[in-house]
Amino acid sequence: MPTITNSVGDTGTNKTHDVSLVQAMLRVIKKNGAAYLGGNYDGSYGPITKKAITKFQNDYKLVGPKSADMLGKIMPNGETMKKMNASLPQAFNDMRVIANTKTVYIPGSTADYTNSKTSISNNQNLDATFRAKVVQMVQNVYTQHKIVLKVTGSGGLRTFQDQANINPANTGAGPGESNHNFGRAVDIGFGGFKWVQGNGTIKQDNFWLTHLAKASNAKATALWDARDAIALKAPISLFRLNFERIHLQSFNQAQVSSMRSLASLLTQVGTMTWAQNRPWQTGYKANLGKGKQLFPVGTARQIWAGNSTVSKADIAKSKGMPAAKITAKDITQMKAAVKADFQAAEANWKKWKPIA
Amino acid sequence: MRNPLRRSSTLIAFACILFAGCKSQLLSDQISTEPDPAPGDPSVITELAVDSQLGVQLYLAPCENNQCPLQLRLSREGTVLSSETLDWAAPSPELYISGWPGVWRNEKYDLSAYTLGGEYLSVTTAIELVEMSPGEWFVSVSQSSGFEHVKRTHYVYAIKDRELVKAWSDTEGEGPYISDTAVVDLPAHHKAVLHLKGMINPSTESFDSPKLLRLSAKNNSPLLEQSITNDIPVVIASEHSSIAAARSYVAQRLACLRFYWVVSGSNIDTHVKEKAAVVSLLKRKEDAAEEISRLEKCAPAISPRFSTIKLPKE
Repeated sequence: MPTITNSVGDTGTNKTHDVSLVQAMLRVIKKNGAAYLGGNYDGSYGPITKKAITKFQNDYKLVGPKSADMLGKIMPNGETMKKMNASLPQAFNDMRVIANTKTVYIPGSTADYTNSKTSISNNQNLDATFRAKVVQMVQNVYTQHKIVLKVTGSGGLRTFQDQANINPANTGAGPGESNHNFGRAVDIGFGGFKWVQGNGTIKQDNFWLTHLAKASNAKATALWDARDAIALKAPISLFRLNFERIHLQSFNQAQVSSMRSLASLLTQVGTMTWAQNRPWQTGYKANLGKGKQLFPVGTARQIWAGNSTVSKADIAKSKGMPAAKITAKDITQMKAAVKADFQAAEANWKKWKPIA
Repeated sequence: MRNPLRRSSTLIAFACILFAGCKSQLLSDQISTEPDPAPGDPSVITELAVDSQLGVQLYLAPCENNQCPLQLRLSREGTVLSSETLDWAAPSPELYISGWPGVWRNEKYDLSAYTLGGEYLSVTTAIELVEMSPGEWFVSVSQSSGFEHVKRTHYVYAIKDRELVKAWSDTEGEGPYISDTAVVDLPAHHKAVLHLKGMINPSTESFDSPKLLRLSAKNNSPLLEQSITNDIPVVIASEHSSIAAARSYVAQRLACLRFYWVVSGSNIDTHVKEKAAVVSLLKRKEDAAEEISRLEKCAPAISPRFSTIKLPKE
């Protein structure tokens, strides 16, 4: 049942969230086919809202000596609020709004919440400590706001091939360079979230609140902020990135290099010694199996695709042989060996550790 | 012609000039690790000439607390007339030069891009001068940032009365968006900036949602005429009975179809019988032959063809 925290109307407290909720209610309650609030609800109290409140109170004779309400002013537990609740169309019976925000929404179902929480709890492909924090966040967000957070289809653990399949326009992280490859990150958003549009109709949104952001970027940002008020603070203490708020992870990226972390894992579980090449856009260097000298071998995407940039001259140097003796087969085998270390890293993804 | 007055920065730690048409896998092949020896103000990353005296600089302001503001500066013979700070600051002065990795990147569109910083904090910036109508100069600026998730922001500044005036801007929102801008010729020596933006929807139930905006000059005004473009030339790579099939097709050929969209077949003018089509949106129909040729070389099994699409209105 929708509730307000403070009074709304003339001389009322008129908190943004309370005004939004009252307006949304008056937008969907109709008499003779006409809504009490004619315009869009916007969270700002003014003469149009006053007129709608007054008309509703007069129509149902809600103001009198025994009423806590006054004409043009609604109290949290007054007769007007009770009558408005009783008059709501069924689809809006439980609509609510988060404090200091303007988006009135329909609560997610208990079944949907349980499914999401269970799905994450049972996901052994997420780091155990991280998984517990994500579950706690989902639980706390639902308890406080009745919003169901869900992990996107590709937002949990990704194989290196999954990572290679993502459009490079959307990620700079190649296979083994994403925190999703090591169970330390989730893309978790608002999939299926239903909110009440300004005109009183219900809109179902996607994971990224794209529709809400089109209506008002500030409103969408406020909901991400509400999620992060729970997710980023103790005791949950997850971390976000500079961009793409759907992404949450187990550690502070500002102190970690994904490429150096991968190089460390490759060295640990592979057959070669690895390091990040410079400049970083060029990928990695490796000793090609022998000695201390490291040679450029290409980017993660190149290596995973079997197109390591390892050169004939560098293979020769690593083997201590003249370049003329290096065959096409040697180059093919070296490219495969370089990729094999990536495959070993994937097989041993649980050994990955964040490196500065 | 770009960068006629370019004075390269001596702050360059590593420099690689790549033409925008280079394939990404050639990146490391073409790296030069030689420091750029050119003299000049070490904070001027690049400078574009409006005329023999007036120039627009991409400028790196002094860093504080790991934030190095990037500025667009209008200068006349070394005197700064106007300065605008771009929204995304660089984390460090370490510079790497490449081609702008945009949707419309090709060999004829060699827009240089300047990347400062590494991995998650890196910021890449490209700037381009546009004479929208004779004597009416604008600067198109694009920035990209992020590593795990890449985002782009675009601006157009007017050069008006010795000032830089922000005429338009747009930033990708939350979600798997891609966007790009490009300058195109109009009749009578006029030009326009096209802005393509849309979400590459991972859903197998919804189409992608590209939108194309045309920005052109208003008479003697720093503001821009904005018009949604509905009839857009496309190259069709394939058509499919379902969105899921189209997405799978693209994923398996991502190296060749990186900037292709999955759209409704019913929005395309001719010869698409299936529900979903995989298309590339072109800046102009004259680009079709080049894109068809590129795609045929990249994926010989594909038989691309030209058509036009009517994008649905909001």
